[in-house]
Amino acid sequence: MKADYYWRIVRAGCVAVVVMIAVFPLVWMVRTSVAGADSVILDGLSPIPSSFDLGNFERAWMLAGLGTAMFNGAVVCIAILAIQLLTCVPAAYAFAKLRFRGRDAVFMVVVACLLIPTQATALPLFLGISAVGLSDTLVALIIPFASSAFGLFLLRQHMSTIPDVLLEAARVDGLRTPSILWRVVVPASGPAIATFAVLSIFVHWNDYLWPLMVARDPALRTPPLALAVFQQAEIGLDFGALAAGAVIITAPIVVLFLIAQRRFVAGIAGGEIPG
Amino acid sequence: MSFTRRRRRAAVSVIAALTLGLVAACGGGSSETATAASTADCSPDGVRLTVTYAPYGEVAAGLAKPIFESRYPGLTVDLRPTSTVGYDDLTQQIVTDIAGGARPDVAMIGTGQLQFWVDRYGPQPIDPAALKPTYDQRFLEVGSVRDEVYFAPFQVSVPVLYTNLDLTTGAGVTELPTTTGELVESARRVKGGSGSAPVQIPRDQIADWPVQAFVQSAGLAYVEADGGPGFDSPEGVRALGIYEQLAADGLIDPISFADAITAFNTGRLAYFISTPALAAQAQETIGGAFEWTVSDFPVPDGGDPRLPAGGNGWIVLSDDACRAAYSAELIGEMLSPEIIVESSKKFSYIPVDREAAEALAADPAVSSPMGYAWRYEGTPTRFGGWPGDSTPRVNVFVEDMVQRLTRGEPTQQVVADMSARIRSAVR
Amino acid sequence: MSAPTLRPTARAAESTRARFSGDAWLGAVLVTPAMLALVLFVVTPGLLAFVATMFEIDLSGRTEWEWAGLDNVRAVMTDPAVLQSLANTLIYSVLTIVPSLVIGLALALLANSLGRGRPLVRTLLFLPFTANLVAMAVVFRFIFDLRGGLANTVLGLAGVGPINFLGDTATALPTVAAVGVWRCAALAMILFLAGLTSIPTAVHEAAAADGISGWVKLRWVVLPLLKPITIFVTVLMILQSVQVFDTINVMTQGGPLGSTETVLTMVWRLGFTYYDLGQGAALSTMLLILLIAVGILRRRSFSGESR
Repeated sequence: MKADYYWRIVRAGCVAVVVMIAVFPLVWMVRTSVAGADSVILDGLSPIPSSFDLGNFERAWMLAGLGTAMFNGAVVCIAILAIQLLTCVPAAYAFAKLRFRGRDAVFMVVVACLLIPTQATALPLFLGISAVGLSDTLVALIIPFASSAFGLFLLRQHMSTIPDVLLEAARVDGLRTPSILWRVVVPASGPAIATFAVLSIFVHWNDYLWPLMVARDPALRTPPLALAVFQQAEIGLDFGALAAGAVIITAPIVVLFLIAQRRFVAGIAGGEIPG
Repeated sequence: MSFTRRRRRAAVSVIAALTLGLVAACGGGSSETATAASTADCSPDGVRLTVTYAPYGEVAAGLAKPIFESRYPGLTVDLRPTSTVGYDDLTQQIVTDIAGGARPDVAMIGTGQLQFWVDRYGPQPIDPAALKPTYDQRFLEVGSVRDEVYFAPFQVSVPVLYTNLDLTTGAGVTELPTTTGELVESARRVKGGSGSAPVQIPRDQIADWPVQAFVQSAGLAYVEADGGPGFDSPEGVRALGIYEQLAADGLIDPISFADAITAFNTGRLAYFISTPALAAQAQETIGGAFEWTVSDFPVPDGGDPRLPAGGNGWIVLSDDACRAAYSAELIGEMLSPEIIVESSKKFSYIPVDREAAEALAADPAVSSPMGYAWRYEGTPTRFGGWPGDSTPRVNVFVEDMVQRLTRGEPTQQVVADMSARIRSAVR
Repeated sequence: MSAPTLRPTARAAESTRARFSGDAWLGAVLVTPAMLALVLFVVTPGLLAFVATMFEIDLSGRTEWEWAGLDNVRAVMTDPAVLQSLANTLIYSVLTIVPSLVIGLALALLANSLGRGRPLVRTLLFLPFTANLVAMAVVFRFIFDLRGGLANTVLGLAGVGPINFLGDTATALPTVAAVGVWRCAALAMILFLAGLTSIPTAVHEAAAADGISGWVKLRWVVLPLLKPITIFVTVLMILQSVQVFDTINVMTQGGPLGSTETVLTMVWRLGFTYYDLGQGAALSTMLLILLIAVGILRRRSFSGESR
């Protein structure tokens, strides 16, 4: 009983230390975002700045046009996710549950796609997008991510654990494939879909390289592009506004995670653990 | 990857077709030098001018657009800003745009990239007459390649010395150093007082800028006529000896430029070679925490200042004579005295317009550190000038050179070593 | 690389086949949209990059492709900066993959052993993965600052002289790797935690009934059950490490003296800073071939072990 008590104390200590390491840089970001110009950097090591200035948030919001940028980011991320789910869910189901010639070979292509870095494909992709006149449109921000090798991989892993009896029963009941997908496969893979959704939104919300190339119209800017205005090397970084902007654009992501985490956490596991 | 043979052949032909298509699509935009036209001979009807710039150009382009469009009804100015964070990024972005078939008419570039653009993309010469009559002609040298003006400097600066007067006077140093010898001497005394390294010279991002300033101010060419480095000589080694001297005595810490800015703004650095463009931010960050000033770049002992112009300006990339003529005039509009005054006040650049310079001279802030650039009367030189597209590679070598020198490696060996690599990159 | 995880799937599909034949059409129809998009937006640009390996590409205006044979590959393979980037990538991977996995697993076990506070701790520990990297780079510059930075202040209390974390060629890569671990461990933790949460309560009850607990339970009950997810996380961590780009790009841009240059930052530099697309393509193709080779090797060693 006594040992158990000590173990609890030690564990709480460990948790505290680990949590501190994990969140300290973020706490510092928040601290920087509310600090006055004269205490924004290296103001001793106190987590409370010696002067406060909420003007950083105002500057971040106004100068960077974060309102538009966050709206664009949301549109792009949601559109990408919707299209990815439309393409990947049926395909993952086919990879997991149907038997057809060349299936494994095609799936190897999916795996190979995981290995191709975006830095290598960015320019050819940009030239192609420009050649068809889509550059500087919302479409150009979305369409290259219409499918996701990672999503196919993750969903297929999960769907392969859906018991066949379930699908068989659905067929016996006379359901056609779209109905099977919608009424059986999607509910059964809910957690995996939630996982994929959160990761997909994270990645595209914070993406910088591709939007930099194709989103030139200020009306199309996504959040990371909007923050570039505070990172001008020649005139010095605007630490306060940059941190405030980062806090603003990170907040929705954290909220999203809070909402999704119940399903999210069950998600990856459900697909992986047999039984 | 078990493609079937048929599929593989199909894939290859798709690739081939796509490649051909791309080459064909991009092959159209030739850039032959159009004969100079005057806007008087052209009709503005239906003309579209595309202007690309970094965030620094936002205000200038935004103000000039309506003025220009109302002067030439029927003409449209298309603003294509970039979200880039530096001049290398900016050049990348424009290069990518051009490869994608969207060649802008007017582009902002960093002063150091002029040679690259002239050698690779055939910009149109700018007729100085298209600029405002009050435009300060001494800056046209910065924009000239082979006696032709290709570039109209906009936000220009020369390297300067920032000094934390509290730290220097605290150590009994009352004079501002004007030569590298004096800088080293003063730094020794300041270090004796505080113990930490008192000097920073950029080691990355703009490392090549002070290097060129040291070399030229010692009376040497930075780039030889054949494109090779002009500092691979005993004189060059002497001009660049400052880094090793500072390193040997522990007077310089090997840290990044970004960290150096922080160090100065938080009062931990006595001497900082940097750009006047940072003065506005320094003023805001430092507040009244300590006394500081901006003064002339310290030249090698016995040398005369010949400082390369940093900053940015505009070039004309139009591939049509009439659009080129309009573009040059639009640049003139973007360089109006009002715009120059505003940007100089905001970021402390050297005014490139005489009327603007007069207005700034009357401003009470002219005697503050912000005003150094406004008072500057020297004639800056071109920045960079490595031939063809070797500039980015050479700049990495120059940066490596500075980083090795500030670690205390012997100047002679490092300069010889890096010069050989620069020569191979230039070739 | 993914072979081990594929196996149960293949088995499941085998049984499906027995019951439903004639899935050929349906399969093709369902797979086509996703694959079409992948082929258009990943495979084709990838192959174009591969083709570009054999050309000298001039981006200036005309985008001419000039046959260069293996010149680019040769140039890349003899460029000391490229070789350094390959070595750095290897070191970075060694420094990040295993620590991310181990720390991620340890954090997951720790968080999972909590009762009430679990959702809170879970969210806090996941935060590093959500942050905007550019803003975080500013914070990390402060933490690792040579004078007055947090890390050196703490070391100073312990009497250790200041370390030039990001400015010294010897410490820059490990420092950047530490930031990589900070991010990746958070991702690994959340994935492992998911695996732990879904271990059926029956397993815990059975273990308790048999008096199995502590290390024995971890080693012989929990870890085997986590094996599938471990493989999944490992694949993810390998990709995150070998393809590291953003972390380096915002923190050091590959410096000082190339000591943090990795393969992908080098690919970007060759292609977009030096405008030498052919060489950039050659390097990314080399990386791809290396990865595939590693994948095949791993697959072989795994099938040898488990069959």
